[in-house]
Amino acid sequence: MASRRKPSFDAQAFLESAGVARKIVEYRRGDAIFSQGEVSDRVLYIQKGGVKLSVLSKSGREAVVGMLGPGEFFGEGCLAGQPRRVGSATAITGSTILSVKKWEMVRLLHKQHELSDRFIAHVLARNIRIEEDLLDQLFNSNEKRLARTLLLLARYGKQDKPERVVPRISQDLLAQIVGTTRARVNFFLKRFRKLGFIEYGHDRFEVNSSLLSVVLRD
Amino acid sequence: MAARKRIAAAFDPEAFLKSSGIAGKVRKYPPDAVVFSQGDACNSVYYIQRGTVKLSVLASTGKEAVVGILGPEAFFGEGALADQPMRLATATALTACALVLVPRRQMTRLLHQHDVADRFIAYMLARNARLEEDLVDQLFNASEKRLARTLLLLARFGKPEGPRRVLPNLSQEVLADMVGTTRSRVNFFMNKFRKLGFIEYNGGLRIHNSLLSVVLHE
Repeated sequence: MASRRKPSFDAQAFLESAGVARKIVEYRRGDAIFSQGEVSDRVLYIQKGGVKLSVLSKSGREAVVGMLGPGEFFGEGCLAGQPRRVGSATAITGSTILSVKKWEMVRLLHKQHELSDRFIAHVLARNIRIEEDLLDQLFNSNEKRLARTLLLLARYGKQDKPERVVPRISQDLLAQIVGTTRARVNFFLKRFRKLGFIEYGHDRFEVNSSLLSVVLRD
Repeated sequence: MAARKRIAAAFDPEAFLKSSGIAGKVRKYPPDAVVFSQGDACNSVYYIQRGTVKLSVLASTGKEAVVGILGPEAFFGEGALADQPMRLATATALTACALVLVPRRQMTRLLHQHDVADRFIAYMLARNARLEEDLVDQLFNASEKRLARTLLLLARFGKPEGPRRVLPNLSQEVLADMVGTTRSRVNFFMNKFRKLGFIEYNGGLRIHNSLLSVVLHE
């Protein structure tokens, strides 16, 4: 459903069309789009850029639960009755975000097949990804989780070709995605580099396909 | 909240079954029966009319993880709609179950009926929210707290219909697979919870309010 339906419907063009109450906001890298605890009354759609979804624990630790790109929705928890944001959304690069009021989104999803198809495809894909992330936590070591995170950021396994070069992403952020400390991330990155799996400068990573061996071996 | 009520109110599962002509495809499963196995061809979606279903994943190392315990009115196997060729998890009946089997094509067609799409989106959003919470729980919490949270969720604390204090029989192995720890750790914490009066074995497992203190403590 996901891949078959996509070309037939352009969610972006639809959401931008006249008659849909929405607003378009530009964010710079590092800007907060919404914060944990805020009233949750809008669904957002990434037109351009990238967004990090994170949750802060009471003790101040941060965990990253999603890294999203163009064509993805977020903030959809308000449709499931979440009155407040359970996490924060931050622009990880310059981003153009379309925002649709909850009631408008409910109305559109009920009326427009194409939009509800597209939205269901998004929710299913997100479901699969979160379930995989959860399994990764339940099954795998920190090292394997870091390798998987880097491969996914480089879009390995996507239908479009892998990007290989991952834009600069701090070791702190990697630690929050993987669920470990910055020191461990640093240790494994050095190891991956020594083995020729990755190359990195201070502003980017290059991920080689040989990194797959870390994920695939038992 | 209002959105969920509105979406839920618009959907009548009985009418859904009648109108779609799939009422005849209700299948019954005894406790412990396997509905589908990891690696099976993936071409239908299931809807739980009655009973409880466990979704679990086996790692190549033989370790098992439970990714969901689902009850009446839940869907599962929805990966079929996202073009997954094989089941990524195994579905097992925990209690006697009546399940409606909906072939992929028919489900795609059904999703073009507004009420079904609304209901399905609401269900998937709730499921994603729960999975995201499970992921955050793994990233932040110790296994003792995760076990307490799992027991409280199984007892439906925080649900509008109020807690169900006595749990169906779940083995310590299944609890360990849900929490992501070993059976012996589960045994250790269950004994501790019992000594502190948080839980009680008395014709089934009883969960007391006081167990909340384990989750609320930082």
